[in-house]
Amino acid sequence: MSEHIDDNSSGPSDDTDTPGRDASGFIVIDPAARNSGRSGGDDSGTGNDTGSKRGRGRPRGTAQTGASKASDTASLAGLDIKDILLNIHMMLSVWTGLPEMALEEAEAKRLETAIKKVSRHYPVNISQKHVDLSYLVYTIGTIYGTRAVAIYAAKRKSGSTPPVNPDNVVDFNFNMPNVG
Amino acid sequence: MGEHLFRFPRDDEHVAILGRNGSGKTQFAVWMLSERSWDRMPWIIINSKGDDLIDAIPNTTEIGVRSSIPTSPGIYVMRPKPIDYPTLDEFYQVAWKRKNVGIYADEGYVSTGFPWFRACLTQGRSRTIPMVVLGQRPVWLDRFVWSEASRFAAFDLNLRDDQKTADNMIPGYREINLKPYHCVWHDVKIDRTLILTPAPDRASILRRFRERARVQHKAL
Repeated sequence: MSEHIDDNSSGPSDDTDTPGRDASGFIVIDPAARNSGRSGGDDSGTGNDTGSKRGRGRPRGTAQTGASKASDTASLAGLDIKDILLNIHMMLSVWTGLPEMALEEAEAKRLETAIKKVSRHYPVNISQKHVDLSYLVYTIGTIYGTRAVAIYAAKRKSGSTPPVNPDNVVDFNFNMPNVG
Repeated sequence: MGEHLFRFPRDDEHVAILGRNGSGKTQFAVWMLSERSWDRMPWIIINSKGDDLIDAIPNTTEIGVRSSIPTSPGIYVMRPKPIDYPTLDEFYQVAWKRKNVGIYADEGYVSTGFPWFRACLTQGRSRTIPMVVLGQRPVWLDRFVWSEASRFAAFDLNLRDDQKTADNMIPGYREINLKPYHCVWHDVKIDRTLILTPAPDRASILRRFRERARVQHKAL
């Protein structure tokens, strides 16, 4: 292993397999360049030198193990579940016509806390992209769905009203004879 | 090369990164984080200073100080305000119970003396809680950081007290005339001291985060 003085003070050196020494005799190396070829952050218990060359086959850490399948996943911790619960229950309340279905804010908060606590034990294996898409669908549903339901209900109500027939209107009189 | 010079920290090892403001310690720490195991376990950054390099890391999820600790792998950023500092020990308590979570504390001094912070440091090896603790003033850091860290990165330090403290842990620190953004790296286990050249630039670091996230996404 050849050694030389590394005068590169402005940035990483490419010449990392030949570490130099500074004036006080310590070896100078560029950790970033020595780290090249790493993939997936292989730092968990192997203790390998980061300067090792890439071998044959798939880069380490990219195998579809259970752990890596769960990567790039979203967490419930970052979601505002309380608002989602409030909206879902409000919609249910409107659709079913049962005001009891609506949640109060304190109830939604308690439910959110409970869900988040349980979710710590069950990793959500869904990517952030899918969470965002689902949230978009949900938001569209809450904005347009409630309006659609309201419009549909109004139409149905107006359709079920019996037409006014002027012939049915008679003057009421207590002296009128009993019918039937 | 028959001998390994620079060994990257493992998930059962802690790293202490020291340096005055502007010495390059955050860039170095974020670069190290870009290579850590956030594809296999959650890593939580306590970004007390609101560092813009941390804010620029792609695909992070923000969590509150009192949020539960996520189980999914990834990088999560917590932004405690000074008023939240006393409650940070609750977070360390939850992390200690939770296990398998990496912690990056950008201002290590705010946790000095916290019992659960110390528990994470002392038992992090068995509970797989790797910690990266940064500090501008080594004299303010908890003593357990010094006793439990197995890697030290010391950048330029202004004050003599701090230099002396660093010198106690890193043999020969005061004799070294560090160039800008260089650091002294000490591997406690093998008792080896090296000088590391500057970490990659900001764009390269962020690119590395994106590349690894893409690889993981494809693997999914």
